[in-house]
Amino acid sequence: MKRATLVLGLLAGSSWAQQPQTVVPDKVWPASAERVEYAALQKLPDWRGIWAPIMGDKAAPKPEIPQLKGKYKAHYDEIQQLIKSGDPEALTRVERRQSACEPPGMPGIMTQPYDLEFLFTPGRVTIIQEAYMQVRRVFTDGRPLPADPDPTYNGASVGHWEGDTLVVTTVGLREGGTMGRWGITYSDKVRLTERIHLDAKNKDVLVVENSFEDPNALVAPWHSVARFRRQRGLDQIEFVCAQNDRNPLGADGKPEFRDAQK
Amino acid sequence: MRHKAASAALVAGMAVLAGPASAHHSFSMFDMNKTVAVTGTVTEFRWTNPHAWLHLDVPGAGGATDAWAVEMTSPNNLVKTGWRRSSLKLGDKVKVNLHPLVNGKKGGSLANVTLANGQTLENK
Repeated sequence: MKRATLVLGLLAGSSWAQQPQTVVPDKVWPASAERVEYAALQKLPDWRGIWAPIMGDKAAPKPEIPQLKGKYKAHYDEIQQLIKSGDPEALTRVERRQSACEPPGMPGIMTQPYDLEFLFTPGRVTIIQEAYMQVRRVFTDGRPLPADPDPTYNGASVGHWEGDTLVVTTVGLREGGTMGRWGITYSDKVRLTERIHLDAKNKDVLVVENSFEDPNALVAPWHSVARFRRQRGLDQIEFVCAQNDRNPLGADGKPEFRDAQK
Repeated sequence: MRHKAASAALVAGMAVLAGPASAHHSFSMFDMNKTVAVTGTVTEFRWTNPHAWLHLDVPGAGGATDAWAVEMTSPNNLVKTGWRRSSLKLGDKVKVNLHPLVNGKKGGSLANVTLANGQTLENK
């Protein structure tokens, strides 16, 4: 839609000033600028390699208790009760999804039990998650956040560098998405700020500090931290979830184990 | 490493599941606190995403044969702990430790498998 508006305007020979401001101005959009500055990338920190989430990370802070409200608190309380029951049947209702192959969306894309890779290009940081080969695009070209984005799994992200820390703001996430495990969900008004940097004491550890603000779901901001260990000798491997999914969701919403005989 | 159980410690005020983080589906269908050993013959080994799968024929009661289905993590993870797509072949005799299905059917999540040559491969 936006691109069509731009193209039609150019074809008609209309002056740019007369067109509705439906696209980001050229000067902050490397894809449409006449030239880009690759030399600036040399100043960015070294995030080469792929980054594996640190499981059972003793150095990470304990999960913060979320201060939720409304239906988000009710959902959290329900899930917490299911977990506390310890009943195996109840536990099967804790982590529900629309499809077993459905990606988690933000921030879950960052913390799946697979690797992340960061690519720096002018005006943009691209994050590739090995699981399901998911991609996040963080625009660092100075564009504003969209005013009324369609909600998506990973939202709309813009970022900037504060020294060697990439600060990313994300909006446009889907109502009911997962902010944290064990029942912590957000509304489509959530705003997430990530501060991503290397550990000052270990350059092979990457730290992602999340701060969530949500006028509908949260009484106060909720914070979480994820840490990753660098792996220099590995590349990501193809991952197609539809290749052999033997765990489709049944009519009751629970994942099946299709091959069990009896 | 990727299937290592998350901290089982309960954080004050928040109940958390003691189980591996999963990309694909919840592990609540398995009893992760229980490990069952079965010995049998490989009838199928599928080196696929989102999970690799091992199928076994296991001698059952009264001379019957039980078919077991055992789910693993993905090839993406398994290659990092020494697995290859050729690690298991049809007809191989193997000993499997698995976390069984909660519903009692003959399936589970692999803990590890010991090959006829004595090598043990972990599911992580």
